Amino acid sequence: MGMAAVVVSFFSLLPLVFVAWVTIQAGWATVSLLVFRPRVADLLLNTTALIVLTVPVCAGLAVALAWLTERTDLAGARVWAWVCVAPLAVPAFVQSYAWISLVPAFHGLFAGVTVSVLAYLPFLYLPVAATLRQMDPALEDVAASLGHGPWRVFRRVVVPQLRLAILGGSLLVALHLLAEYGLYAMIRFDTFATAIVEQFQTAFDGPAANMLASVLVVCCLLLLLLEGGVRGRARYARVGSGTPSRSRTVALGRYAPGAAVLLAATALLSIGVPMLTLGRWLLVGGRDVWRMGEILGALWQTLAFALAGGLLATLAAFPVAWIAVRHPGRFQRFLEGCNYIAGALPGVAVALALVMVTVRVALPLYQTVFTILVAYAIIFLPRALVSLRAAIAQTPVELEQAAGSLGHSPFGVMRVITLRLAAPGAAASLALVGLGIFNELTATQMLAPSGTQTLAMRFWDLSGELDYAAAAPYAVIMVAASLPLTWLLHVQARRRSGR
Amino acid sequence: MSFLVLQGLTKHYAAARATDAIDLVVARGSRTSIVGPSGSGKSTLMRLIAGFEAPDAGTIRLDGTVLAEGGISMPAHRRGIGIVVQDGALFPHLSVAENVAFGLPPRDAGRAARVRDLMAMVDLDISLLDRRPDQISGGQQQRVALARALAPNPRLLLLDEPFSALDTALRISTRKAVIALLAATGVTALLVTHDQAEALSFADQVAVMHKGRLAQVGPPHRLYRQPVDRMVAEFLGEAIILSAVIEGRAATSILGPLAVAEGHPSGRAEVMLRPEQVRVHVLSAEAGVHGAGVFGRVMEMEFAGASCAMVVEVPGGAPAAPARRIALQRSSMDALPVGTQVQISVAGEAHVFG
Amino acid sequence: MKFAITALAGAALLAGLAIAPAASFAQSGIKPSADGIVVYNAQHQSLAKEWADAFTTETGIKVTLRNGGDTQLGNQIVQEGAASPADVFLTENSPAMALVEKAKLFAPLPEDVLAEVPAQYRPANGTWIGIAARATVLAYDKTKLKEADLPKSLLDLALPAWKGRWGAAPGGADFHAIVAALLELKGEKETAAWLKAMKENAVPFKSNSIALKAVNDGQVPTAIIYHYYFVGDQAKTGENSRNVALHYFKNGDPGAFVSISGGGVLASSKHKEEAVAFLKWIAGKGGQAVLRTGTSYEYAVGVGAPSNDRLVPLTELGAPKVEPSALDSKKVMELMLAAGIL
Repeated sequence: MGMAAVVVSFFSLLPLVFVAWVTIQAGWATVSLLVFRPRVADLLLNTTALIVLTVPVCAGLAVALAWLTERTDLAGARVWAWVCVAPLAVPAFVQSYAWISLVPAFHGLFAGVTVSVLAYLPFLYLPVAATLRQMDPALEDVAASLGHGPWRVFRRVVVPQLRLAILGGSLLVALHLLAEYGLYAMIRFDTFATAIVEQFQTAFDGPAANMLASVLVVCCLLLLLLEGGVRGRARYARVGSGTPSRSRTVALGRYAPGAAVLLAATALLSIGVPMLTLGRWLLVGGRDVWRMGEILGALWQTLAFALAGGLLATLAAFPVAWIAVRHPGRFQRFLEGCNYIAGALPGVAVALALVMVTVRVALPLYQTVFTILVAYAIIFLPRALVSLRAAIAQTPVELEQAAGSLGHSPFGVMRVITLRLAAPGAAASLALVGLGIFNELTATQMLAPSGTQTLAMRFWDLSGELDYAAAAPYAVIMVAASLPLTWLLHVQARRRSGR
Repeated sequence: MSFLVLQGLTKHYAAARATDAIDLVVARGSRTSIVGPSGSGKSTLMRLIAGFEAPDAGTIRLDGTVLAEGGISMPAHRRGIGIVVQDGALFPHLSVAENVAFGLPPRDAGRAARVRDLMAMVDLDISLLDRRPDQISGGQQQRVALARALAPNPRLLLLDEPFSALDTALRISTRKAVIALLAATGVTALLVTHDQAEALSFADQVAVMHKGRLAQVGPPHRLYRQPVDRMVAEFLGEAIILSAVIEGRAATSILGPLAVAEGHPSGRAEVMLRPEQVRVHVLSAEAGVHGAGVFGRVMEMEFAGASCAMVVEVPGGAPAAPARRIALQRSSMDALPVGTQVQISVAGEAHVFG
Repeated sequence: MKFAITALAGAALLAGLAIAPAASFAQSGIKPSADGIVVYNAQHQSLAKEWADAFTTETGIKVTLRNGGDTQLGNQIVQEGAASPADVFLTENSPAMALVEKAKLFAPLPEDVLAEVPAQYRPANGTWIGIAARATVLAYDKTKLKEADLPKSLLDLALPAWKGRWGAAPGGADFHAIVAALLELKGEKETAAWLKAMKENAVPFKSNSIALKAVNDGQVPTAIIYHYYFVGDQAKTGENSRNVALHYFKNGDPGAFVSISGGGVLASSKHKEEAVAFLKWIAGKGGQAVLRTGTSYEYAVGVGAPSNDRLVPLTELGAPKVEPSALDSKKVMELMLAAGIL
């Protein structure tokens, strides 16, 4: 098991090692020529501006919406809560397609920030809302009894407890901002990811693309360090054993219309616009755009990739998760950390590295199903780890010991007990990774075998040729396939916090 | 004299009445317990007093100022009422010192000194000041919560089941410490609990709550000895309830003649005895017969260390009245084998309901 | 430990099993079958697909397309070297062909294939042939500009008067070909200066289609594109070109450059016969007819093959004379990187 975990970690660190190796091999002269140039400065400025503007807006909006849906007497709060999560079902590049076909002139930083906020809001809303739900309302009562008004209670008691949720969500959003290609390519906003893909498309694995990838990887690592530094060693365990009492709902009174307008506006922009645009294009396209042969072919291939990639990621994550839960130690934590770091790297960097590795070192694997599946497994490993970890942690070690005492060998125990009980976690991992692959564009474009046409690729090619109507069915299928899982995520988050 | 006054306090949840026309007066510097089974509305009553919820009707007055009246309610943070809840509700993101100082003015020069004084007051070592709440024990957490609540010198202290999360030994010692501290500081306190022994030992005044109403209010011993009805009687302790015929200051029951207070009308009535009023004597040649007591037989005996539980059966006498079994506690030194013939006498007066 | 290895092996097996049906279902198949050919296609997907489908129907030879950009696939072939899975390489422009040619990865073509295309539409050394052509144009907003307001030469777009007033898709191979022609015609110094001015003056777009649409929507008054984006849109709904007209520079100006789309057979191909047959078919009657009747609106270049009626005839374009295999994409890339455009 330990060996397997090491092997998995090695694989997931491969891109990082390769990027470093190429950078070193290129020599300082090349590096400085390709890195210290105005174009990189532009990209750095764009990317920084994007993160610095998007993350706080997202966080502020998420806290406001979460508070409104969880803590106030807002009419239809349960429906609104679902509406706030629903944008997860719309792939980021579909979100941007919706905007660009509605407002053709929509581009640049403002457009980038707007669409990013709408697309990634759920990443912050989900943890903040969950924390708000689980927060002990007695704390706020006590703070009030100690003479603090509602606003000071919010600032001094509620916000500090939301800190971890906000930090974690912000990191996730920032990493997505760094990694996303399709969203920004479509609205003409240059980031490292778009520049790398552009370089790749003009010069394959030229040194310029590699250097941009190095800078991007450094940005990612900096973000991880920053988050780690800000979070520190804080952990806000709930003190005491009592079950959380029914939380107080705040009467909105005369602010109710304003709150409803805020929610309605967010919903209109984040899911209304995609639905409207898709509906419009489907109407314009009529029956002609439903070329079922092509669509079904793409759907089938996409499903096969999603399933196979999901299985591979889940199986690869199992040893790492098992070791992290059952034998926690410094080395095991290090292994787990490696996989999270690899998973934080943008798909475009992972794909570029795998192209290099296969072309230069392992040519037989080049452009094979195996390589694209490995890429998927690396990119989506954290999703698998999170699900499996939780499931294994819930399997009492006593059960394993009991099975052992009844004469089963360790592997028998693993098969009979651990795997069985971790099955729901494995299913969740399969679904989460599968959904990620279902909507993956960049790595698939760069690595998939000749002739591959996934839904995302078809959508991208058609919308690139401005055939928005023909692209619509593909977008609709991607959204429809993502909806059930998004719903499940929403329900699970609510159930976990006891509602 | 009347420091906290509640009049007609009513709060509805959906269709149910959580509190229904509550009237209560609490004297300055006193300790009052509100006790009742879970769901009786006692927590709602506390939340109304604290200002976490606004009453639908009725008034709350504290030291002459109106806190709530006619649907208008002063918000909690202006009331100056401290509260300690079941699990302490310490702020997990703040240290012990920051928790205690939470209610003090932000730029008060005397903050640090005041925190130290409070720690000494609740008998906690100042080395704990830098700890996080999850790094100290449950009993310590409760003491910190108490210090925090006392820090801004509240006019009234609400204690919402503050001891129930602690284990038995710790519960009793913490309760004693709190009583001593309240006596020393003179703070008026209101305790909500579902534990009748705790309610009786804590307070000068006990209020029994049932289905949103106060069934009875008064000094602990009176509530125990003279409950208004069967519910209060049984809630506050073991009760032996018998039907009897009253005539003047005497009542005739299955346990023979009983003394009752003056002023009850003659005729059939229910009377109550506490088990500790019932004495059991072994019938033997040397001891002889004790006065007018009825005879019975030990049916069950259960040894429990210091005490033992005993069931005595008393024959019915008349054909219409069946035999009656009575559960009693006595010192295990006086344990009797099953089947022993005994005679029963009753000390003190029986309480007449109605 | 044993379990873990079994698990990983199982994962690989399951993954293979899951993919197998997908491969058989997909129209062209993920793995090319033994008798088929792999085409690295940088031409428009719809055009290449039309060619491939018609060829397969006619000959029974399966064709698998791997789509990408000119330089991407060109560089990819160079990287892959002798191990390249590609049999045929099709591009939109010449520089990528020149790139592969310089790496000596093309197989020389038989005479009968070369004979399908007139000499001016193929390199002198006979390693590849032209399969189609496209003309450089300036698309302009006819609601705002008159013919007289337009620049006389591509070089004029470097003047301060055109600051912020023209668009292009500098990331695409189409534009790289135009720059390569400029480099070939005017030399490195002048090209570098022009690119520097372009960084100041031009509004970059992701693709020619989007640049055209931007002119139509009034975002930018003019854009350097190829002719067929406009013609194609006009033939469909005209939705993205209603307000647009084309300006041809003519007079042998670099802006009148006609770019030749190329096709070649890889020396490493294991299916040379089929690959040559495919290329000959494209350059011959069948393939060129697709250009005339289809929806690509690119020029036909085959001997005696007429182009679509909607197009201004090739002979009237006044294109400058440029040797296609001299177009240097590597140098273009360097110059564009140096100018900060890429």
